[in-house]
Amino acid sequence: MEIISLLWNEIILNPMQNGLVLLYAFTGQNFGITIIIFTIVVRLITLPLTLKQVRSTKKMSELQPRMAALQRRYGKDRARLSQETMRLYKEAGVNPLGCLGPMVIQLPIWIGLYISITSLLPLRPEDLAKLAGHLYGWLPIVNEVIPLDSRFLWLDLAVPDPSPILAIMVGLSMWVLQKMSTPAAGDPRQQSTNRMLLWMLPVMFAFFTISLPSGLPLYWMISNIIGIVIQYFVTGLTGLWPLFPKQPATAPAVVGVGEAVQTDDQPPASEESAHEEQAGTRGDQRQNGRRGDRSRAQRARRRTRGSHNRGR
Amino acid sequence: MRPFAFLLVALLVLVTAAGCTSRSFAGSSGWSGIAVGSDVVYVGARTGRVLALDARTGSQRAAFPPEGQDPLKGLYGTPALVDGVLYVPGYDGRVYALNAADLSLRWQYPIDISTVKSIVGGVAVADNLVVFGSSDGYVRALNTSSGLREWEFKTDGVVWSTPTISGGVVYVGSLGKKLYALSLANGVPLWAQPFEAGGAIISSPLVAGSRVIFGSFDRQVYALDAGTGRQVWSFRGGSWFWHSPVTDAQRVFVATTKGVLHALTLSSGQEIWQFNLQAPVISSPVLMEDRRLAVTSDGGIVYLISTENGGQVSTYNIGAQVQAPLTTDGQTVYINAMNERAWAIRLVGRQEKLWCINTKDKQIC
Repeated sequence: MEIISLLWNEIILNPMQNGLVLLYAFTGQNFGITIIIFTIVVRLITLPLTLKQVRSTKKMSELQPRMAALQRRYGKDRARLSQETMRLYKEAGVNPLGCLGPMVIQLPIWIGLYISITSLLPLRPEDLAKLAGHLYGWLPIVNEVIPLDSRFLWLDLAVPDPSPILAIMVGLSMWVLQKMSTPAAGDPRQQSTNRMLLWMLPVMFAFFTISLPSGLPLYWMISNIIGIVIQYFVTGLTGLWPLFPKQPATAPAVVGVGEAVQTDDQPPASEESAHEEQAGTRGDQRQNGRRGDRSRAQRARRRTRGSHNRGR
Repeated sequence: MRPFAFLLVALLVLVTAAGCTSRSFAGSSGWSGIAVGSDVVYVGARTGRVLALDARTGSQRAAFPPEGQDPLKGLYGTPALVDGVLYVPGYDGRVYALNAADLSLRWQYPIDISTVKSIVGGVAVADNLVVFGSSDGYVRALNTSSGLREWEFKTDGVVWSTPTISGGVVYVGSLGKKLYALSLANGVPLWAQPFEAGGAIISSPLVAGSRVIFGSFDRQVYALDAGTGRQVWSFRGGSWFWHSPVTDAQRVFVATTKGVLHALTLSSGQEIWQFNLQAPVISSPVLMEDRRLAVTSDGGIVYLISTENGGQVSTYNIGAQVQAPLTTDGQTVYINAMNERAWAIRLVGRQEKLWCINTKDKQIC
């Protein structure tokens, strides 16, 4: 257990705390600005993973009709279904767990940032005393700027925002991000689940915002906004409209401060028609052309596979 | 694992972490030292009560607030015992004056705590004034008889340092990196400008002759001219200096939050020897009557150190983190540990534990 604690301190907590204090020292000694810059740095570092994840989500979405077909064909044989699904992923070059990367990275960052905020912006002397062991002695400036000023705009970053403003901003930014990055879902059950997730996660994070030191929700909000920008450049604004569809045609694919999560959408009744729909509604002509080519190739492969099966 | 399930686990861990290190005061806390009377000692317990304990046996004689009433929010500053009155700085922002005999309340300041912030440092008492600093940045002086405010002075930052009174002057540091010299009579600054260190000052200043000595978070110990506030010497250590320095009139003893105890010459600040306690030192050491130094740390071991050469004379393991300042009657060291146990350990002559009491359930430990 001690070795885990040592690793946590040396690899995550100490670099994070010293980095935050260093940023604070060089950014006008404003901890709000420090958190914003820290968020941008974290997002830049994880950008390759995030882009991979968003693209993977997009690919997975395109595979939904074929997955539905597999479901129909092998629904009762789970082993075979699993085998065929994995083969499908392999053919398409998709890693179904690839989207977990950015989330796995986010978790220690959240916990580390929470601990850092409680130490760097101490409410109790014990919190400040704990910090002493984490600051680098060879970096004089990090020792000299302690304790940090916790005021930023209307917020005291050391305590929860007493007004609902930050909670609303966190919830809203998360909702927009999810809405934008949601792939199409055809199955009514999945639609229902997606609709619930679209609201539940922003509400949950807004609820956390009410009870956590506002430095952490500030990180979430900025991270969401960056996620929205990334999503805009990859998929555009198509997922955002309509804002409140009567029959929701979208399902959340992005959860938790901008990290996309693939959902197991079900296709429309006919996979061909699904492809036609996608080709007809998504992206520019060039994308449609590529997708159409791919669809034709996929259909040809399936026909060949189907005739093999019938032959048996 | 499905991504959504993973996210839920992540949220659960986050909430758990938040719960583990909750910043709210579910209970009381603190690290108050023990005030030593002739046959009674006074402990600011982490349970939020001031306990009067028999100095010989550790048995409880009185408590404030009495059992049955709500405890205080927390106690960090060490109470001061002067002329039969115990002055207690509360983390709730109030100063309580208690009759030392039975811990009954004489007065409290202020009545309305919405106007003040927490007190982390201790109080200093002289010339019928009790002086203390507050997290709202003020240094205040109260009349010891009435509890009414005589004066207040706004510093440039939060004040967690215990003021030191010497020769009618109040010396006090702030987290705003400044050390002030104020007139005890009226709170007027006496130096042309406060001394500005490179880091926050929590250390209570030590006045030795014409020198004011204190440590800072910029890893330096400073010695100033008490009259002018000009720097005489400084010493650089390896980490923060949190606690108050101690002197034997020739040497200054001060330890870092990395656990290194330094002995410096009082005249020039040259290092004479150092001793590594291997754990952060927040607790102030004390000089025993045999001129040995008792010092402890977060590691829970009390060291008796030779002031001559820094050699380890003996150790006593109390097995718990200590951040409250040590106090002594010259032979016995009194320790309020972070595990809610108060100790009396004789260090001069035959070393022995006199008593140990759990300040929560009052059981002997």
